[in-house]
Amino acid sequence: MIEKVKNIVFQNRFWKSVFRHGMPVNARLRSEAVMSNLFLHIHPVKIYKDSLLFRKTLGLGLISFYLFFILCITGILLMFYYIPHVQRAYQDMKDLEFAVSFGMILRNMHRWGAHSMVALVFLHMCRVFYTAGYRHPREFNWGVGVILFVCTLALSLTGYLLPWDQLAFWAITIVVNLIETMPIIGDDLRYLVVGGTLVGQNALIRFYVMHVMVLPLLVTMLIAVHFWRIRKDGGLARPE
Amino acid sequence: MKRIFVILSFLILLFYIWQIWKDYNRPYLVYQKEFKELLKQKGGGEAELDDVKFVVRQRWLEKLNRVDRCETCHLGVEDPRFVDAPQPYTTHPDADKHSFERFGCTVCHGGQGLATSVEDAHGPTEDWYKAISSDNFLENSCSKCHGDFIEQEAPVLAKGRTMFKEYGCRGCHNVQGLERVKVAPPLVKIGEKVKIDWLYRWLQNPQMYLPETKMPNFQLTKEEAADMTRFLIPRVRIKDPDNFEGGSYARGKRILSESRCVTCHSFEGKGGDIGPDLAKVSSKVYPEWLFEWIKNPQAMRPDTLMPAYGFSDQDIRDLVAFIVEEYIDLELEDDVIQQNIQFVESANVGRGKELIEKYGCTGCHEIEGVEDRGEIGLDLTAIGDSHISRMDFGMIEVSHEERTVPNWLYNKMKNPRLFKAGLKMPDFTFSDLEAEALTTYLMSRSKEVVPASYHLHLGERPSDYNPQGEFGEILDNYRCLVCHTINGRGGDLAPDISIEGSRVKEKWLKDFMKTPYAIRPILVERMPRLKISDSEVETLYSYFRTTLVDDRVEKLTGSVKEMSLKDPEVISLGKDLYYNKYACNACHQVNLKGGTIGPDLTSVGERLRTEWIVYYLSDPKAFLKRSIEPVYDFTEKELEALTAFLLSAKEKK
Amino acid sequence: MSKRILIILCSIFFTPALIWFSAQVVSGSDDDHTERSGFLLPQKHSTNLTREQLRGKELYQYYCALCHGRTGKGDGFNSFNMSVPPADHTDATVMSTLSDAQIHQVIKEGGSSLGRSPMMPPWGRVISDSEINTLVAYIRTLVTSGK
Repeated sequence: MIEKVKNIVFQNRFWKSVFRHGMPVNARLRSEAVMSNLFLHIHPVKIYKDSLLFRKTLGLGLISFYLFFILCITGILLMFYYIPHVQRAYQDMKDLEFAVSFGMILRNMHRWGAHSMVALVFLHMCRVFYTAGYRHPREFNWGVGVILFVCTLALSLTGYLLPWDQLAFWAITIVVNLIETMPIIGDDLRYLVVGGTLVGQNALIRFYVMHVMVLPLLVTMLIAVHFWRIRKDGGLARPE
Repeated sequence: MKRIFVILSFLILLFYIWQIWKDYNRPYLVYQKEFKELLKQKGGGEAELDDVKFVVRQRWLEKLNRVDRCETCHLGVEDPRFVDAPQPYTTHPDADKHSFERFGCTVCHGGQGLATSVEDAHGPTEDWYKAISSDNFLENSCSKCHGDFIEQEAPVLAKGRTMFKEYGCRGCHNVQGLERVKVAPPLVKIGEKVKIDWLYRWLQNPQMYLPETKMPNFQLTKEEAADMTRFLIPRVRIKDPDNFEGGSYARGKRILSESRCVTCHSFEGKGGDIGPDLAKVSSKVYPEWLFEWIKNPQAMRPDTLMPAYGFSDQDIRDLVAFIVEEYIDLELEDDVIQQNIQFVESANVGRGKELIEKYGCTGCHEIEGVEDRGEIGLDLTAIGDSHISRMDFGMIEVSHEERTVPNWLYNKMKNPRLFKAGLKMPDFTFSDLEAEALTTYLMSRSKEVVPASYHLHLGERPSDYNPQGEFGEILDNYRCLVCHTINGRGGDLAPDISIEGSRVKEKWLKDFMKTPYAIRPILVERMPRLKISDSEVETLYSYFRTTLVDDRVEKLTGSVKEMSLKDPEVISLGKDLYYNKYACNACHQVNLKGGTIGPDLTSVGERLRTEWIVYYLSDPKAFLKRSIEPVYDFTEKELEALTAFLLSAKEKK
Repeated sequence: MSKRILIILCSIFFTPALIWFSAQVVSGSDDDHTERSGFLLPQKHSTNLTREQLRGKELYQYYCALCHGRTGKGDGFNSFNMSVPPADHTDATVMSTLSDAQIHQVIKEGGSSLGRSPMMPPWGRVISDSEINTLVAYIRTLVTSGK
């Protein structure tokens, strides 16, 4: 009976098209299972054993990735409630606090997740730096990582404006005034970011689009490249 | 490693369970359950009880851009059964005028309408500084829809507005829409008016000389006061104060009481409050100045409230002689005066000018040689909107719940230099109620705009009635409008004379102006004897008779002629009505018998026109809205009889 | 190894807790010593009258107090000029015999409507019915205060 069920579940075309091999019962099948799985083939075929130890990497890269994943989920849920309009945005914060079921935990997960992601991405960079992971042949991946870090900061900044409270307003005012001090392009860049001369409705909608659309897409693509290069560059934390 | 993983997983599970419990157990449930119990006690039906659902209740006020969730807990606001229920279930006392459907709660009360917990909704919290208005300042919201002139419905706000104007706040603080007027006397030629040592003492503490003065206490040091005095009076007087040619003390005393100066001025606290207290005036001003002032006050200060009496020079000389002799400061010693004068003479003129510029004296006074640089204080146009972070509490520890803008303003009014040493705002020595009124007014200065459909201006704007020509000149000269009102402009000390022409007879007016008396038996005689000439009274009366009339009265002339007012039978019927049926003598006197509330009706026919008597009897409230005359529904015949009786009620000699 | 991580975790969690706690202790001891130094709160204008009674009081002081007195003892300044003295509203024995409707009627239609003196005029055309109700409510409070 059990055999029969097993056959129906595993011995069909659909199962085989998804999992191209049987149960990983021996070393060969195990390596095949790893190689044919998108989520597991982050590591190369051959790898030094001690570079897999927790104390070598502290798991910082993966934790950052998980945080990004959590932020995407909670962010999508928050988008159901949030309206990027100067008269509504702060009211929506209050709605989340007082009227929406699980609104507060949702918003806090997004908020604290974002704060800790900035910290952890930075720590991840430190770890790579101190284990000399940026050296040949991983220079390109280090570069991708730096761009990812900048993207993380940009996500954090654009998200900061969205509650539309005093803190957000003045923080962004300061930041765009910093942008203005850039030589030559400063004025125009500030105008581009704010969509006017003052932080207002235009700035809010620009920041919102960047925060929920442009930057997450960019980060997703860069993370894919980042992971792919880990494998291609021959594993973790092991300079030549 | 695995063990840590298990523990952490368990902790996270607990955390999620806690979150679910927290999400279910909202703080307002307690109140809703209690309300349901209460409703059961008050006899709510089954359907009504089922209607109390455990949910957030909100009102969305689209036009005001507000969402108010106050009724989540304040469940009984619309239900008249909860009048004596405890908060938060009490019925709102004003539901008929301000419907919740249209106004919600927070537009008047403040606080955080979106919140559903007590602390957050009432505030202030860290992220919502606008706390619910305390009852003391609640009226500040009224002006959003009802304007600033709400005397009846919002007396505190109206008082604050008047105070803001009268205390000259506008001199140092800009408020858009209010005109900057210098409320205090100009200090041009001040050296010819006041004595130097008086000014020195006055600057140190104005309230010591005149407790009710509007001049604030700048808390100056002796040196500062001396410097400012020295600048204001650069030359010590040339004329000797003693060589003023005096008059008769006794005659002066009589003139002072005959002219009823006490109606406006007080003497040691007894008397009117329109002019300053004169009990110590001779220690302040020189007799020559006083002479010139009484002769024509308006020439010296065009905006004074003092009428120009028609005195002869000898009258004034007698009056001044009496004042100089009688009203002196007995506690003041001559050697102290000399010391003060010497101290002032050694003071620094330049520093005095600097101080006058620093304290913005030019906001209220016109001062020779000092340029008015405009408002030196904070712009108060939108002070009610200001964020709590802009209020500097200095080093004073104030708990979070008490850190609100109105509390800051209240303390600023009570003690302007409380928060920091070296602040410039002077101390006006406001009482608690005065500080509350001003705070309420300041909190109402807001840029918040409510839609035009919500505007409902209450109260009357001050009228700009300003008669010109001969009549206007008489009115201006004798400052009639300080006490009397015409067409909405003027004071409320004396009767409104907007339709005086329909009311009184010319002969009576002429006699009254010569020797004014109190028409109501119990009132102190207040109308001053202004010494108006007969020709001026004729001008007044001809203006009254042509302009200040009411057609409702004038149209009665025909029907009055048809009445048989001389018929003894009618008169005796009127007498019966007067004494027995309507008991008018409960309030009115005829020949010194009767009550003392209303005017004396002896010889009323000589004072009032017959048309007026008929008209007033038929509808006393039509013109004098504040009259406490009860309204009777007299028949035509009763009207005739009462009028006939009143006309016959002559003085028995 | 797991021991080391435990120590790290513990220090991460407990150091902030310790700092927070000590900060609480320090600021708590601070509060006891600093004075308010002159910061005042507006005082509540306490009254034990309801809003309705307050409105009634206003009307009473305006229309009635001249004869019935400011405290309702029937000793207003005009009471001495009358042949029939005004009613004493603080007298519990008299007031308890009057129903609310009777007081309402006397105010509205005058003393003569109940066979009393016409010295009490009818106020029905001056004061509205609902305002008379507030007056009645206020007059009832005077009785208790006169006991």
